[in-house]
Amino acid sequence: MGPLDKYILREDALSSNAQGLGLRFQSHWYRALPLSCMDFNLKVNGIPVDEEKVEVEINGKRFPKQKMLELKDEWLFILDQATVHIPMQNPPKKGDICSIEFKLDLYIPYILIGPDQHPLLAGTLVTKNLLCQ
Amino acid sequence: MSIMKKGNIKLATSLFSYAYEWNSGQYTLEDMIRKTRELDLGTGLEIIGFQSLRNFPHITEEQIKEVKSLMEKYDFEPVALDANIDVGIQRNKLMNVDETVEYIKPQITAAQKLGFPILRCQTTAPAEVYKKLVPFAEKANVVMGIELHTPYSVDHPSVIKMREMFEEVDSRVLGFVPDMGTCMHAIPDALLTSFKEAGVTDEMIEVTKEIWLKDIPTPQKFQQLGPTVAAMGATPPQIGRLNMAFSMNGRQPVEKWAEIIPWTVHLHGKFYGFDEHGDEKSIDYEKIFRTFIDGGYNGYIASEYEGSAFTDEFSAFDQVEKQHKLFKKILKKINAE
Repeated sequence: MGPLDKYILREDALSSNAQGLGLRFQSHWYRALPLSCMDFNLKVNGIPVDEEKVEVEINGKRFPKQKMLELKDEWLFILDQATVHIPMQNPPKKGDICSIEFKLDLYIPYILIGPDQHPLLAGTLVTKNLLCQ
Repeated sequence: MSIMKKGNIKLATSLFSYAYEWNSGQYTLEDMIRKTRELDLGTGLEIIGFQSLRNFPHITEEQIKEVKSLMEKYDFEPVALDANIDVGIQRNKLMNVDETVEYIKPQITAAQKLGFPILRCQTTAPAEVYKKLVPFAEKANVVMGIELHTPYSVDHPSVIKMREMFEEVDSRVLGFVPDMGTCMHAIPDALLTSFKEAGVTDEMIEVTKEIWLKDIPTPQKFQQLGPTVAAMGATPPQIGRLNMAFSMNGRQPVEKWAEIIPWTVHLHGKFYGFDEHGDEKSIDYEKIFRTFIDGGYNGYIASEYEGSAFTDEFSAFDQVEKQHKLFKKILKKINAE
């Protein structure tokens, strides 16, 4: 989308523990948006993650990904990061390198377009090899 | 014979300009404000609530104290706090009028508490919403300055409705914030360069320029551009980039602003980049300054650098400094006449 995309996944964005992987992301807009205005798709080493099991942690709270649309009061400040928790049977270990494909979609709530006045979609696909922390 | 100058324009900076630097996480709010002072980027400051303040608009006493003390320490006049009118926050259902009114109220209160006389509002809410908010804003003593960002030129149907409501209600808390991206005479070179970096060809750029120059509504321009450049091999992301030329760059004649100057409470000095002589070739700022001064506008213009949307080639601090040099040169010329 633009220059702010480079901040979506930092080099230390990926972490591993016994339950699975965690991926920290920052938004690529210039201002805070709530989770209701965001959506994402994620592939780890080329395999799409199971959306039903994924959770998002924001401001110290965890929510199922599928609830994001309802979370209009959970704001991700523009300098903060949210964490995607991906449960896995045999997660990569610390020090492993994983190929991450993360598509972050922002639905801009004050820019309405088209005859049905839907929020502008500002989506960005980030592809990165990240070292598990 | 010298022309009597009726108005006066003062210079400010909007922290929106530093989005690329801010999002890096390497600067504090104080760093941003201190740098703005060190570079002498005006006497006024504009802040975007949802950009600079965590938990906005539900800010704490500590945040209020911090902002006020920074304004004082670095000698800035608080000019405008920017609200966002997020009517699509639920994505699948737009807010109704009353919900929008309630969404804006805490942002008016935040402006009041932070000491900003103007709350920048947006055209995403219809005139009815602002009419309902007049008593609340009057009590808070905060002016709702509705930004006229392209495609919302002075004769856009929604703006006409707003103007009619302003005339009818006649309140000191209603006003406009014209954004200079609405009255451009060319697509900026800096934007065109960024298109080329995205793999867009000269041929596609020529088509984009031709469609941009047509006197048709913006949505029709999108409809014409997409299939034409797709046939030339443009990918969807490239078409998305080219669409930016229509969504960011309006073609309202500068003189048209005269119609709404009595309602103008603040100005957004949108800009995209400069040539080697320090000129912004796509926006005629001298004409803009003359139009507003002759029309009796008395207030600020805040620099709004749009670079973070399309290029990381330049430092936003340098870019704003260049714009202020241009503004000072223009003001000096006008004041010497």
